[in-house]
Amino acid sequence: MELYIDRDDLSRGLARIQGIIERRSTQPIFAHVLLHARDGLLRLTATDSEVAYIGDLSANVQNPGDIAVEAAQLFQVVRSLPDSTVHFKLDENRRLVVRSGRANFKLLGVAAEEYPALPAFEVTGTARFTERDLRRLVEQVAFSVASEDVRWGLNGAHMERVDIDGELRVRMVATDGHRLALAEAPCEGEFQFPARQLVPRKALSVLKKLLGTGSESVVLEFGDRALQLRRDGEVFWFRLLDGEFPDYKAVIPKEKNHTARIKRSDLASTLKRVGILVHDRARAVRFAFTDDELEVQVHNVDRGEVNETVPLDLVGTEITVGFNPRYLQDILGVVGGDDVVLELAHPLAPCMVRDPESDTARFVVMPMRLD
Amino acid sequence: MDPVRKIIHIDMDAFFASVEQRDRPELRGRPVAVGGSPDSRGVVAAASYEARRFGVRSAMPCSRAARLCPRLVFVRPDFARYKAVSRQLHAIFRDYTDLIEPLSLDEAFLDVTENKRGIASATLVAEEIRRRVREELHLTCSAGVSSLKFVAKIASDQRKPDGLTVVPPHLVVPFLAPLPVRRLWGVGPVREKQLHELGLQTIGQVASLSEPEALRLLGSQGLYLWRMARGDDPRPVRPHRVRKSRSAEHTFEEDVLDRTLLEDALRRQAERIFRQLADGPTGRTATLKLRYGDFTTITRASSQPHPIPDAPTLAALGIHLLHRTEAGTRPVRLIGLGMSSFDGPSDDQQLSLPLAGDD
Repeated sequence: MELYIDRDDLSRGLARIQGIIERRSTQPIFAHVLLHARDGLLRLTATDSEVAYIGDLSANVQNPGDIAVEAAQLFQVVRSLPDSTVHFKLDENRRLVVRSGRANFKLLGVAAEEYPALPAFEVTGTARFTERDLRRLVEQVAFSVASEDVRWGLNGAHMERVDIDGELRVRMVATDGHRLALAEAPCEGEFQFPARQLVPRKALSVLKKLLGTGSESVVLEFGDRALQLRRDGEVFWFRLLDGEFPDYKAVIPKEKNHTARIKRSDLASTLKRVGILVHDRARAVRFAFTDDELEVQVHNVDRGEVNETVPLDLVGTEITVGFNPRYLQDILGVVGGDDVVLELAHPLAPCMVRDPESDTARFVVMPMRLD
Repeated sequence: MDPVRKIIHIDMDAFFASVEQRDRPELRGRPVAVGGSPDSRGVVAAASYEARRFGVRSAMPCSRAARLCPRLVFVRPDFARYKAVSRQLHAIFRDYTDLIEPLSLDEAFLDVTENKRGIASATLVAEEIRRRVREELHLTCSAGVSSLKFVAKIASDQRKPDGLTVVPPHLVVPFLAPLPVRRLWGVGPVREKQLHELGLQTIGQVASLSEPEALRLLGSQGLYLWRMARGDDPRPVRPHRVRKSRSAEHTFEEDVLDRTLLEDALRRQAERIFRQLADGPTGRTATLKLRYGDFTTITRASSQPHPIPDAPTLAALGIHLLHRTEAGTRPVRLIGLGMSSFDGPSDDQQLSLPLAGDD
């Protein structure tokens, strides 16, 4: 194998796989990236057996060939190179010689045959999105996914197909038992979902990194117990999570006796300040909704007090509720829109949060008991 | 020197199963196992005496129990109810002494040397407690009375169910002598095998060693076994044990590659940890410990936002952590499960979404 490649292209390619490789895996091969050179392309392959990424970079390939090298180290090396062109050559001792300007590395490699083969993928359906819509979809639910919960199905985002007034959408739902996020993205395509379709946490975080905010189209390919994101020169494959997702529709509140409309940036900046005094997440922050303002109050015996008011429009009677401010902040970070609406039935009932101008996302937060 | 202590060990008879039979008359006289269902991978938490006649034991996989006793009735455990009964039991204990050391929901040591009723005989206190448990709780228990904790515990097991065994101080050594070494506190299967290899089958044989012999054969770490065999157990009844962690370990006779065996061990350990927990709070962190065949020891831990509610959940966390190890591909010599973070932040005030299947 011998090739020349642009350093910055290579660096960007290697940056993409850093979230996939497992540095702490019990199988050291998963810390490696497979380099495969042929026909003017350098293909990077990375996997941890649950997710896999394949990316093609254009390169001036002198001699085809392949080798697997430790990915984090290669990334570090490439970023440090002085010249904008990188020369790769495999020596007879299966070492990857990396030259650029005065730099000259010889990195130990592993034979490509020892790199795990990726499972075969048979496409059973496709959905086409704009990149920005799919990114928003993932972003709006990823933060609510549980982490290492014993209710196994909560460690992923449920995915289903919905038709809203003739518009085909993919809906994702995630919950950690305290809050729930539901989001939808319009798409085109031909696909049917099996009953259980759970996107694992890690796949969501990789998707978030891979997807940009442009209007180019990206394709999700559906297969047997696995999904693929396909984009020009790139494939991201991931296995679906095995587990039961609860009947989420049952916890989306239908009643509302109090509806507050607040400017999103006002509430966000208040919560940011209030959060400074909240160190114990067991402690509730007091939210008093009155006719013309929301009073947010923290009283922390160890640290002091903070008390702020935010203007609002309230429909219904006054109500006082406790919340973990972190949960509301997470939502305000992804909800979009100038205003945000909070809908409550009573102080111990789930609270719905949404953008009043959009029907593509809804969030539910359980309150905290106030002492 | 301290006066001779008067210690009672109370052990409820087939506690969970007896509570179920008491509260559900249709279960009386029938073999009952408290635990999962026969097709689940859970273990039996408690077996009624009718079930024990078929060989059903606690910590046995439910599937095996169902094979041993096809008529076995499986009852879902209701720990809240068992805890409530345990509280009633402790209320009876407290009429006699505050020096109560619970070992689990259904087992406790009582130091009645100076009891609130001024009863001079520990035997009479034990009789009275047993009578009140029968009359007020409609349950039976067995009791052991001795000057030493571990002897009282062995004694309570002598005439189970519904029995009382008293071992006065001058009879402690002869009482222990014929018993197998396994009955000594701290002797598990591995230690038992070592003692057998040294030709020590009974506690009496251990007691007959001279101190230098005991030191040479058992090592300084094992000398306490010799002391106990000679009726020396100075540990007092400790009423308020503040636990920072709870754990259970098991060393296999032979290194294990089969992951299902490891998972079964974790289920048993989770059951044991929760049985020992009595009424106390539970922890948020589960820790898995593995020692591979080459003695490399690793631990893996997972913390939950909430206290771990029950044994199956603790076992599930342990099994989940097992996936992060080389278990199954590398031989395992020892497996251990622990629970900690008993007093860490708990978001009790944070309400949960009413998701189906949640408790």
